Amino acid sequence: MTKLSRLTGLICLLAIVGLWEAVARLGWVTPQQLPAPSIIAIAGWSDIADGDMLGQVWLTAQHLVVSFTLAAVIGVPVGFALGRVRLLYAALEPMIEFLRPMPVIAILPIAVLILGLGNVMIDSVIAFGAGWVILLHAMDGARGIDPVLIETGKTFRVSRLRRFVTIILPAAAPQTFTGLRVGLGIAVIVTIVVELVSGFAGGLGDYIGTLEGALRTPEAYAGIGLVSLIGYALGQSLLLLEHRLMAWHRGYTRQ
Amino acid sequence: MSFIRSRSWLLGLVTTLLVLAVWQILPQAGIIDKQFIPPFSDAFRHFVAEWANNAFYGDLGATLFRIIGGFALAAAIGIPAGLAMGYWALGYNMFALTVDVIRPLPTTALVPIAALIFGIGNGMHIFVVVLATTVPILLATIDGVRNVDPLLVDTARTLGQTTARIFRTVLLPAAMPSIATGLRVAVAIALIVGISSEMMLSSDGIGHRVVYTQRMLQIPDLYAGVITLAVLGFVLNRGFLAAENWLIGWHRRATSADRSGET
Repeated sequence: MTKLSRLTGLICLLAIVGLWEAVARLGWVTPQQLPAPSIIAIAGWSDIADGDMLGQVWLTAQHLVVSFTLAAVIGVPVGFALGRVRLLYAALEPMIEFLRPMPVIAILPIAVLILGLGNVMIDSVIAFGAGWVILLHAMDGARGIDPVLIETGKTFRVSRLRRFVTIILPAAAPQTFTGLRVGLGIAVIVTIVVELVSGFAGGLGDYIGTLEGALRTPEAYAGIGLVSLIGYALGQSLLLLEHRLMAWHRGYTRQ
Repeated sequence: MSFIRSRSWLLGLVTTLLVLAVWQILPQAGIIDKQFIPPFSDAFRHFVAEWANNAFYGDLGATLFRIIGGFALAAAIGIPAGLAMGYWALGYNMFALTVDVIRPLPTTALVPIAALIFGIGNGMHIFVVVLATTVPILLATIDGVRNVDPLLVDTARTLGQTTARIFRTVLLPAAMPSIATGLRVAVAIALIVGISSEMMLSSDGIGHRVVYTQRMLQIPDLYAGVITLAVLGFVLNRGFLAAENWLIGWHRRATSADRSGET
């Protein structure tokens, strides 16, 4: 991207924010609905300075990192196993294919019923939501490997373990990473819902819910901005990891 | 291997029945507390009974209306905007950064704000679904248009076609496979976000129903509701795949590269 095109984008973004500011200042929308960006920035800043919001940010970030790690650590190996062990997939195929498009958040009320409203429930629901997508992508990646690759390995008497490390893992990696990225996005969405629904467990979701209940909308908007920032930072670190590990892939498929 | 393949459906059936049997027996034998997990037969009976219940149809209709309506609206915004941003570099340069800023927004966090703006009801749910699904559709469309072979566009131009016609007869069909992928992702997101929104703030819809039955400790009804959600996801996905096949089946037949969902 050239310098000029970056500048165009920045000017447009600023223009949109300016328009928003104007609309809010002119009173076309009530401040309860859409406060001016300057007011959101000030409210957000004072909330952060109070230290009030940072504690909630920390809680939410903790939930996100713990659950996402859990989801990846369980989802990827199980997905690979399902993708490579034919008998296992054949046995579970009807259930997997039926549940594939299920809205993962459906598990929330059952989790509340069984696990109560604590951190265990929150982390489990987020991990389940992210883990299901991660599992499906890892499974599809491992299943879709060109059989010729594996047969070639067998012909050259490459041991099972080496076949896994040198053929299956790299071939399934691109789709697995896609799964991780999608899973992270779902984790962010789910985290907010779970925190808000579970009420007193804290975290930004709960915080946003409380502020909106108290009609402190600017602070709520600032909180939403912070959640975006966390999601963005996690997404970027995942992307960085992917680029590191998959540098060979870009050259290989000229993407 | 051929033995496994020919018998795989049988194995799948047996395992599924086995899982359901365990779900039936453990609570019934008292090994698992019925208050937490009722036997499968109880959940299934309540699931079937729902379909004779008028209030249930109201909830189901509300949820379907919000999810499908929000999805359709997002497609109506995302596809044209994506075509324009993919084709005109200026359009892309102007708005790419803004889209990047909007993309990581946790849309579910906007549910309470949407309630302030629209009041609790259809408008608010649809707004949240639109917000969550427009960006993936937009990005997939841009991607699709940018990957169209420029030779196709140049050829059409050389043959004297108008820009409007090029959009309709060259860019849109060529970008369609990528758009379809974006739409498929959007369906999944619409489901999650729509249901979440109903769980957070609503007085009707299946999402509200499951949270309500949980609070009222109507446990078999809760499980029936969760089964309904799974079925809803399954049916919506199948419907989408059928529509996709109808729309871009020509592409798959022409390239036979996309084998997903065939095996």
